[in-house]
Amino acid sequence: MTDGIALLKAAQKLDEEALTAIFDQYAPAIYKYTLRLCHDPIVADNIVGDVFAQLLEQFAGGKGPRTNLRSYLYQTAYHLVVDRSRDNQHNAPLEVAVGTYEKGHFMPTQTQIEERVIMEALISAMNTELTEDQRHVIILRFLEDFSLKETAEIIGKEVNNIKVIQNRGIAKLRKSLGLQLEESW
Amino acid sequence: MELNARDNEVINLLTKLKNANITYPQELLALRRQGYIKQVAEVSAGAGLAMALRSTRKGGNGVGGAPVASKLLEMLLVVAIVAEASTVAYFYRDELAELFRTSSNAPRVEEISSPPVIESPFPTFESTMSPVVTETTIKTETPIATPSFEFAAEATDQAGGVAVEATNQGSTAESSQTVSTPAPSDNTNDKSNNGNQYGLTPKPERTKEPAGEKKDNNSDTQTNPKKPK
Repeated sequence: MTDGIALLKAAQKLDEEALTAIFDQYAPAIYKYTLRLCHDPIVADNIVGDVFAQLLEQFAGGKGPRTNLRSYLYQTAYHLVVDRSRDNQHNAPLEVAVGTYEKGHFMPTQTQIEERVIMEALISAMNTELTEDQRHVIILRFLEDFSLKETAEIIGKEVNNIKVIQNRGIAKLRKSLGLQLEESW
Repeated sequence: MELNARDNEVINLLTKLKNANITYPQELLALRRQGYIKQVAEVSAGAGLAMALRSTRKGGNGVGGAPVASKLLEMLLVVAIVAEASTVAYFYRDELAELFRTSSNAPRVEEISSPPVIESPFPTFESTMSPVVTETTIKTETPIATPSFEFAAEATDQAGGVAVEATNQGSTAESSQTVSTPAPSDNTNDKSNNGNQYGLTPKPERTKEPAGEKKDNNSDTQTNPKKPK
């Protein structure tokens, strides 16, 4: 945490090493998060570029995050994804994540096959059943390990509201997975 | 937030999904990093320049030759301004003198001069009134026309028809005026005809023709004294 704050302070002074270190630390995570939201590797890469360009602009203007850099970067990425989805209504399936799941296993066992089916069902349910807010909250809470407060900051809603959104999303996923699992079994 | 057992199953699945091996493609990441470092260098250079400018503004000793150059430039500007002002003053010296005179409350003398006579290049034509005034009295007499139609007995055998020649005797009245108003009488007793003939035109009387006699279309109702009966 102390290192994070020191890094942030150095970045605010436009220290090149600090800025590069921030990129190396957060760019893969932001890419992962963005890819889960927008399902397009090229778009995710562009959003990563935009996120760090905005960060630089903010630092150059004497603004930018003061305490929670990670939350700030995710928040910027979230807003960019929302803007892009409004612009082109891109809604491709999240096959990218599924395709890379447990990559390197040449001979999958029965358990691995079953697990993969469940994962595909989960991803499908996340894409089709959940609302945009529910999907964002669940990704931030359970895939990116943000706290309720941080998620609320990123999404721009109250903590109680985030709780409600999260519970409804999980309920929808459970219902959808239960139905699909019954079909698959 | 209460999550039941089935919700926990979903959360476990999500946690497994979190561990899914989504990696940033190395080519994309390298290109993106390169671009980012370039941006960082640009921003840092800009920030360095800004810092230098700020320190110059604060201390005034940031760059060595800057104060000398600025003083020289300032002197040049002052000289240029003075030269321009003197040139303008020379061109508008009269107006300036007038301005000074008015501001010093000197007595004002206004010269009034008659407007200049401008000779026109065109020759002037003078019109003189003719001294002789000729008065012409035009006597207009009311034409007394007593048209009389005389049917000439002489029959001209022209075009095999009978030509009726209407002779207007001694008058300029139109030949078509068959009925004329009587001339005003000088007799004061006769008030029936005082010259004002408006509305006095006698109405034609319808005369009954004796039975058996053929109706003559040309016969007038007004008795024409000169018309032969």
